[in-house]
Amino acid sequence: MTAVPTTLESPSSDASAPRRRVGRRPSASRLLFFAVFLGVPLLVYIVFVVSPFLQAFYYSLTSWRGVSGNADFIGLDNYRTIFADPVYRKALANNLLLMIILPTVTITLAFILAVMVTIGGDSRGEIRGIKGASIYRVVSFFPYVLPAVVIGILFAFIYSPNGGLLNGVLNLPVGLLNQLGADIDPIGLAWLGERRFALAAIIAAVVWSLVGFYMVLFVAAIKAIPSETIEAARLDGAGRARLAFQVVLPQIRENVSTAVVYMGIMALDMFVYISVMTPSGGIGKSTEVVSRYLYETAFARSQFGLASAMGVVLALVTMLMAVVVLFASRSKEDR
Amino acid sequence: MSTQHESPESSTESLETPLDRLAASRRRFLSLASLGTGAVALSACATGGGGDDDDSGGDVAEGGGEVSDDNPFGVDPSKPVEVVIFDGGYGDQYAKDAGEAMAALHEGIEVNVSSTVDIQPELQPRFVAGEPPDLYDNSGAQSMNTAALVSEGQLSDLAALIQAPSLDGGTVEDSLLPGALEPGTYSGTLYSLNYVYTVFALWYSAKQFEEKGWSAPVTWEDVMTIGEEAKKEKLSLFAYGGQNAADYYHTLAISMAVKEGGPEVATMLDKLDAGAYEQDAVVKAFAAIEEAVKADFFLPGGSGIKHTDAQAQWVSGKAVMYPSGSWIENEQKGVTPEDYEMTGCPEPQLSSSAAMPAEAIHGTAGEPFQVPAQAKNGAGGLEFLRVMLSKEQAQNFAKVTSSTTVVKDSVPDDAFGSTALASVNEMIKAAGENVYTWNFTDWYNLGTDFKPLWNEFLNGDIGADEARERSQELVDGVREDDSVDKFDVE
Amino acid sequence: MSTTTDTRAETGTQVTPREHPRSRGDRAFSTIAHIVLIAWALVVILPLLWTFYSSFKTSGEILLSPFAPPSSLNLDNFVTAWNEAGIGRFFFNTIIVVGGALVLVMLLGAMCAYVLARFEFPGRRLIYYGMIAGLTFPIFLAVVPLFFVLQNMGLRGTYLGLILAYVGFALPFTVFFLYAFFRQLPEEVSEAAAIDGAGDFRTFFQIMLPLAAPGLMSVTIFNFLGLWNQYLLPVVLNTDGDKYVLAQGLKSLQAQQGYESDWGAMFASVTITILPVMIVYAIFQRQLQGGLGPSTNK
Repeated sequence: MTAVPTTLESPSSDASAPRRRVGRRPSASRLLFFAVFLGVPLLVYIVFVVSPFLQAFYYSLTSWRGVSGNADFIGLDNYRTIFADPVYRKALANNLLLMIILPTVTITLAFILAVMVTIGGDSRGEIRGIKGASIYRVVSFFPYVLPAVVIGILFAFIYSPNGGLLNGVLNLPVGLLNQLGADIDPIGLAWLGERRFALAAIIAAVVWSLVGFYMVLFVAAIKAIPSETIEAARLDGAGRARLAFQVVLPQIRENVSTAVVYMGIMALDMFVYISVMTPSGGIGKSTEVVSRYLYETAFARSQFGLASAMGVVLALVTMLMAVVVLFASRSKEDR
Repeated sequence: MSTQHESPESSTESLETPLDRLAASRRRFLSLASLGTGAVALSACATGGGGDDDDSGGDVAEGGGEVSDDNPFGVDPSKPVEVVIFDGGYGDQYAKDAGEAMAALHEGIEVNVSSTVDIQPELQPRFVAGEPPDLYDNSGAQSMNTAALVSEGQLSDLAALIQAPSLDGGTVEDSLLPGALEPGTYSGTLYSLNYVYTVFALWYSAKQFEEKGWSAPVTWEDVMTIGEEAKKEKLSLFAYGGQNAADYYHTLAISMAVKEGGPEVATMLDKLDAGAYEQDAVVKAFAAIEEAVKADFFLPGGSGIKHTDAQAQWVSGKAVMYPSGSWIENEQKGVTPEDYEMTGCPEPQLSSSAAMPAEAIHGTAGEPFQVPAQAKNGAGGLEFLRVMLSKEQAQNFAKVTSSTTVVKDSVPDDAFGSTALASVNEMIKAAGENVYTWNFTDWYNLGTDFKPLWNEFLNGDIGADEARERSQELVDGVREDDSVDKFDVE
Repeated sequence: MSTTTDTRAETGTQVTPREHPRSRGDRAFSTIAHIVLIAWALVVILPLLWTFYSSFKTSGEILLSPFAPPSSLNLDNFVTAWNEAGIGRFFFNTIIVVGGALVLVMLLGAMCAYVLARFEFPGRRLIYYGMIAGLTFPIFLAVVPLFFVLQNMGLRGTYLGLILAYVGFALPFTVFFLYAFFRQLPEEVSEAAAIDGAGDFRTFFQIMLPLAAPGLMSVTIFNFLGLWNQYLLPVVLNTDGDKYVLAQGLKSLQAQQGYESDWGAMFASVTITILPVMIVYAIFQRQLQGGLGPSTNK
């Protein structure tokens, strides 16, 4: 899921919006209208999205091995098994870590860049972005059009210990120092093969690919802020930092919380990135995540019941995260 | 068990390395073994313990033509023959060539050779409709479930084929390498003819070895000596792709252990014995690898890369040797320097007192060819296989694909200029009957677990003892898991 | 709002005269900002450029000296990618699947969002929240049962099956975003239509849909990008090599379906994959920017 709405609006949040009530006895044509307009999309949604999820919940309580039949009901055994499994616990811990770090880093960076290109221009006169803002904005978005598979392949090359771009760049100053008489070994780190760096390296790749998208999102949101608000704050003597965090940020709070939810959902998945960059879950399972482990459990080991339990736990975490973030941002609004 | 059933597993296994793909295709055939036990038992019950074991598709009917030594299956030249080839790494040219040879042998016969990368989606409906081809190559990620085909009596017994006279004199069976028929045989019936022969070896650049004055290692001590000398020249002994192919070194270790202790070592492992990884030979083999790790003989950074990257580093000269199956030459085409002279030698002995001779090799056959029981012209299918198993066609296969078939002496000494193929040929000849293999990693799909374990081991994070303990735990786990069907090991 | 405006009016006259034409702080900030932005732009562009020029290199060149420029500008990789690796075929499949899913999801999504946004009826909130929940469902939990759902319906391995699965998973987002658009449309319009005697169907297709066009446009673009990059669904559901979509084709090229690594062809395939998306983005980036804002216009 990559696309993002700018805000998550509650259906009851603006009671002012006029709406037609459907009476007790709707006409035949209206019934037909409802059947088509609501019925067809709901049918597709229920058959292809809801029902597989409900089935997954059921399978998580069975010993199903993916071969038809033979799905013995075993209660919560699968859940006991996965929580006793150190690899699963490690995977879940990594997901939770990603859930904190990925949104924080991506959104902070995206926000700073967005502020620069929108209100980073001269502090006098009309509010404007920095020169060349539109070029920066368009360019930053580009990585988002790369398929995640490609990003994985690309960064695997960048992080390669042998002739990878990152080591190459880091070795530039080393080479310079060595020419000046120093004797430093060139850096030959396997970024994806070191416990300390592997996860961070993958985070960097994901941030790289998504910052531009959220930047574009925030730019649009900032442009929608009434210019009087910003000008007023500026004339009050607000510096750029204060302007950004105390004036702009609260105005686009809803967009930010939506972005947090989306980044959170993606941090709890990460399947493509992990399986392309560290196909076995990294050395010592340092980059293992639930989605990849689940995939391996389901498809390589044929333990679909167990895999479903892994997924159910993660789905609950995902929903909890979404509710908490959205609720937190809404309650502030009410205050 | 229906042939129409397909689990998502078969279509989505992540087959990262050639070793994984070989394992998967073997696993799919080998799963026949466990299922077959049940099928045979059932049929025995049904017939009151009678001797009728005809739940296979049975023998292929004669083709209607005149049976003679030149035409052992009675192929009728007026009936067309249809062959479907898996268009994977070996392409389909070799089969087209064999088709022409067959047409020349039986004047006027129409031989249709087609190819696909999706055997199962294309052939399954045809099996169901009772109109399968006369011969097909059941390979690839989309191959058919052989177990199901056998239990439904959809496959022919290929006994007639191997008893028939070879085009080069003698019987077909005599013309095949030792062990060639085993992977396709179950309960004494041959259902698949595995055509391609893979040899596992240590690979190196003959040119580099000559320049440095090294000779191919025979024992592990020789390997370590080369490692020391390579280190002096700032080269690494081995490269490895820790992200997805560290288990190549597990294969090497088990191979050395089997050589050291004899085939019983492999049997214990295949039985998932509680002491499998405590066998002396296995302990020694793991210790040997640990020794190489501690001596820093592995190219740094291996833990972070895949087999493609590791192999590119190896052929670029940064590492000296690499353990792999004989697919390596083909896989590295386009990356290997022209004058590299890639050459293989048998995996080394751990000591001079090893149970098996230095020439012994770890080898196995793949690419299962099958003749459907309902084939319209099963005789034609068998005849096509007989042509493929002629020296001429086997040689052509080697030429076109740089790979060896199960046919003896089918590679000329110059090996069409390929040093790798020539060395495979020599290894096979030198080994004679001393060929071994094992199955537990493929049967129980343990590659998935050995990859991360061996990455830690090769990276120096864990020692040999811990690596063995954890391997034993994996084996114990499978043995004690009642939901996993176990394979019988004699 | 009015108080803020007043403050500005008052203070503005006092502050403005004291300001310098362009303060030193402005210049320093501008320099730093440009450095940061240029650095970021380089970080973004270099890997893309690298992908692009790698597609002119041979496999050997790519693996052994990954970042050196190509030795010659040959188009062999593109020919191989298009003909042998089957990128042309993957492209065709992707266009059918993504195109079909896009049209269908926009239609169904708009219909559903319209009803939810403009009509009051029992169960409306339940349906709405049921849809929101769909945004948080991890796809990988559903793929295995989904495999069997499609299998049982005889839709597995068909374009239609994959399209419907895509539509299902893109619906929550689509409904959700368009809901906001339909909420903002003035009620007078539909009232006027009702007085004119237009039925529900006509009101929707002839009046409401055109009014929501800007919203439809940006949701379409997002859905396009999302579906274009969809990976797990096709990997599990679409196992017929002839029907592979691009993301799958790329992965199988990377994992080497064949037995000989052809990195050059893989990069050429990547280039072929991303160029059309880049072009689509370049053409529509204004609409995208414009379309993103509406629900924030309070």
